[in-house]
Amino acid sequence: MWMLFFIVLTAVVGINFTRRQRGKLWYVILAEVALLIRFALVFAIYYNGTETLGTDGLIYHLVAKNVANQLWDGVPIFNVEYKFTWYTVLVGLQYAIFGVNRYAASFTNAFLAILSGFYLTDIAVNLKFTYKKSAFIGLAYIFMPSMMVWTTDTRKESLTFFAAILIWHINLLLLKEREWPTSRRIAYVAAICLLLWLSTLLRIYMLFTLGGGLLVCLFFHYLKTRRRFILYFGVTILIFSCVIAYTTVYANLHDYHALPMDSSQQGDDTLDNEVNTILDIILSKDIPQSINGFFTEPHLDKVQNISDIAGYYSLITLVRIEMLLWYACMIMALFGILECLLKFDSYLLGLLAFIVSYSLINALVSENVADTYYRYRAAIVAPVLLFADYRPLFNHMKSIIMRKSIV
Amino acid sequence: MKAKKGRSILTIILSVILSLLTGVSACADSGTESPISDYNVKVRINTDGSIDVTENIRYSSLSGYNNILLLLDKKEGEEFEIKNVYMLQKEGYIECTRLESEQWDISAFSGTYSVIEEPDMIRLKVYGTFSRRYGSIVVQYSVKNAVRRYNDVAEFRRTHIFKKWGEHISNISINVDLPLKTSISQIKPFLHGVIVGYKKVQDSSITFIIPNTVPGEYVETRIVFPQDLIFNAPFEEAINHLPKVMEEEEEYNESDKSDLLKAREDAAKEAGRKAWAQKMTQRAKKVAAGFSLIASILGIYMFIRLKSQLGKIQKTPIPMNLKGIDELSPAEARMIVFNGRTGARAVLGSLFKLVSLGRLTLGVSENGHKVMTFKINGDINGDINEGINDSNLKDSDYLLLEWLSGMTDNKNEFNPVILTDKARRTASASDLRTFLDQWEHKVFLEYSDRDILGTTLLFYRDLGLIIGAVLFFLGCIIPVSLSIWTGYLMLPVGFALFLYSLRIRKHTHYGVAQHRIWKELKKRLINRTIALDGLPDWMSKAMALLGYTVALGTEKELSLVYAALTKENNNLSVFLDNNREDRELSGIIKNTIAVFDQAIREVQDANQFAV
Repeated sequence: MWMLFFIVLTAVVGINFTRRQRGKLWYVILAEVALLIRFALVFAIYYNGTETLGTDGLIYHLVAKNVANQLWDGVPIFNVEYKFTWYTVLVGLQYAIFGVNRYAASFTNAFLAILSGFYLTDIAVNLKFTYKKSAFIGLAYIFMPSMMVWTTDTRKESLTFFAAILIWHINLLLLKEREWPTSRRIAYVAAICLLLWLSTLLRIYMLFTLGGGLLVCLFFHYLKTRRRFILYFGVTILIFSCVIAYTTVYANLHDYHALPMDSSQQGDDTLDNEVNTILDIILSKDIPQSINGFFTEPHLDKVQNISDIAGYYSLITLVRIEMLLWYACMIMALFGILECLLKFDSYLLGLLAFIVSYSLINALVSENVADTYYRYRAAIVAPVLLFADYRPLFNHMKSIIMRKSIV
Repeated sequence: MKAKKGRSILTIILSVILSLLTGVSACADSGTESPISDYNVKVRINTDGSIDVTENIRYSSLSGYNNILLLLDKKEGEEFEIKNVYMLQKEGYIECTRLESEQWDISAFSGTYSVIEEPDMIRLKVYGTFSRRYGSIVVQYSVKNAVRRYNDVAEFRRTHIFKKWGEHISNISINVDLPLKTSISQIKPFLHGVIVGYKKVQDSSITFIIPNTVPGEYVETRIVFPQDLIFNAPFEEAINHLPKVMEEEEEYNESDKSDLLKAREDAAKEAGRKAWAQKMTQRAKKVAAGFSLIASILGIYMFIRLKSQLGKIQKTPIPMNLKGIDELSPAEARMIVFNGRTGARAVLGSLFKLVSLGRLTLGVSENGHKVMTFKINGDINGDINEGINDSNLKDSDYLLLEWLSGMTDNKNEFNPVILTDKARRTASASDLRTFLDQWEHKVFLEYSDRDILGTTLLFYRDLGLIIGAVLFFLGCIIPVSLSIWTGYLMLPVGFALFLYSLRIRKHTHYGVAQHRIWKELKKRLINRTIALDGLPDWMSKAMALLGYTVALGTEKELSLVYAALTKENNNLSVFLDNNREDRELSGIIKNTIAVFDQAIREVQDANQFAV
């Protein structure tokens, strides 16, 4: 029933996204295939039952069950006690309404991943990429093997990536659309603020990476256009970010489990202590090595050491192939980044700021573990794909050197 | 053919970069050290045929791992129970908690484990912060029906290290205690899966010692002992099993063990490759660090060299009498004085120039803020009417006129106020931006026709572009793939060189000379230190001068414009339909600039996104 619902929903949403592109049904069909593969993966990973399998996914499922129990006992949703991440409340709400079903929660994640792919394609189309290239970006995202794994289990990754992509999509619409009534603009800005807050609840540093990226984008856009709306938009994001930093980041910093804190240092909840701990972590690291780790781990010869796939030769080979493609994608993206810097494209500069800040924070603060890097890096795959094309820069350079254009 | 060749070159370059990134980074941390330095297993066989096992494993090459995987043997019919899992922390061994349902409130990232049962094995994952110093775990478990009882003998057979684990493991010690004492001669231990290793039997205890294993090897122990030692165990089959065991062992002994030999050979090769790779990585790091420094210095040298080439030109004296001033359009003049920018003032200045050439007539709009309006005289395609001088019109001027004709009302008049509304509508804003892009490009091309790069500068420009781009790419790839600080130096150097080379046209002899003269002119117009007869003829006409004044941003000082009007024996009423006071002109110009400026700024992003 759930599967059928999401298959139909994907078709409806896909057709809606491609309505302006005639004869692009193949894109929707491929998206359905990606969804079906995820469904198959769900059945494969829960083969031995849903109550014992997994790590984060299992814990979130169990917390969500507890949340559902609280809701059934009449606890209001804002007073529900939960652990680890707000994602568990969302899954708990789903369990409370539709019954406890880890399969259904995973199917929802799978659908969100496909929806992210649609939005990513739409972003690319709106950035004036050809439809072929835009569709390729969206499909590359939804068919990426690791992405399938991260976005299928009851992990928060699917929602995190979806929120990030949706923020950038709404931001693009707000920059692009000039004829919207003020009420609609306010609603969209409010939606961005809400998503920013939710993203921060999912991963606390998302405020700095997403918020920072948005502010960079809006700052350069305002410098370029001096549109008053952009100024108001930027100031709203800035004020809201400060509020979130105080009310959410500060409140949750100590409980943030992805920080490899030394247990001996815990116990003091002051901000100074938290900041000192983070600084200690950063200073204790070999920074170039950490940057290397974030962008390139798991190295080809270490893929077999990832405990989740140890012993599965086909999966090891698949991850190795994906890593090779990722390296190629990063190299391609360098061309796109240089082109974006030359064109001074405010939107892409904002995305670049997001990629750089997200990468640096994760490289410097997260655990130095190949599979952690691998999973956390997935958040920048979508924006990197938007840069991964060497042709615009080549054509640009060619036209300059061939004297067809000046700059 | 050329495109194909270019594509091949690109493919080769990409392949080299890719192999650099993957090959070197893959080797960055490789070592020959075994990830597991000690693997101790103690098995106690009980009289009911069950076993109690304690595995003590020490990891030696962990650095901040958050989980450890252990593969445990499980055969059909066996009942497996994990009893305890311990991990070493600062304060000593701590007991780990199993992740099960309804235990959601435990700390999942420190001291927990999960168990995944597969048909032929158990996957045990222990979660916590492991490091080289604290990388030990102890697992205690029991297996019912682990030892099979037959009529003649009992058989213990377990795989301790799986072939598919693929790890280097050192110092393996497996100790199996029988439930009761028996004659040593009746105990037959066998070791499978490794070439190097030995076994010893002492009392009722059998010990297997294996110095190390490599990927492709496995460790399986098999012990046959009197069946009455497990007197409480049920019989597996009522047959004599010893002959079959001996036959199988003979077969194993006589087998060529080529797979194990190959595994050793591969491991030796792999170890050699890793040692070589590590050596090469260290060497590559040193070479890359040196290369990065040299490349960065080369980039800086290139930058200095370019500047010195251009510096020779810049040392020429400023022509104080404006003698060398070239006849640039107001848009071109704005472009060189304002660092390549054009914008609203360039458009408005060009419109005034067109007024001076008789192609447009100036008016004033009375609605709301007073702004200047423009009416097209005659046919925009070159109908020569009386008083119209087309000889000085450029392509950009024709494009401007063509655009203007599309913006006029039914009286053939263009009121800039309509731009405000157009800039706020998605489609018309895009049209306006498209026009501006085309017009600015034409202005650029017209200017570049005069500012032709010499062969030397052209060479340096192209070289600078290529070296800048290459340094930028290497500055991204080398420091990331080889984890070296110095590589990052190439990034800013490359980007700066690239940008400087791209904008070299601003620094040519012609560009610098014109830049300085026009800046000087701007200064004199603001300071009122220039007279009308000091201006070139083509600029001294009132409306042309107004155009340049607006383009250069000196419209606050209009005395020269008034002087020109007086000299032409005209007053403002010639240009402004109604009789206006002179002082109103400044305010009207200001309003007109503001309208143009707002509209043109607002559409800067109109073509950035698809409509």
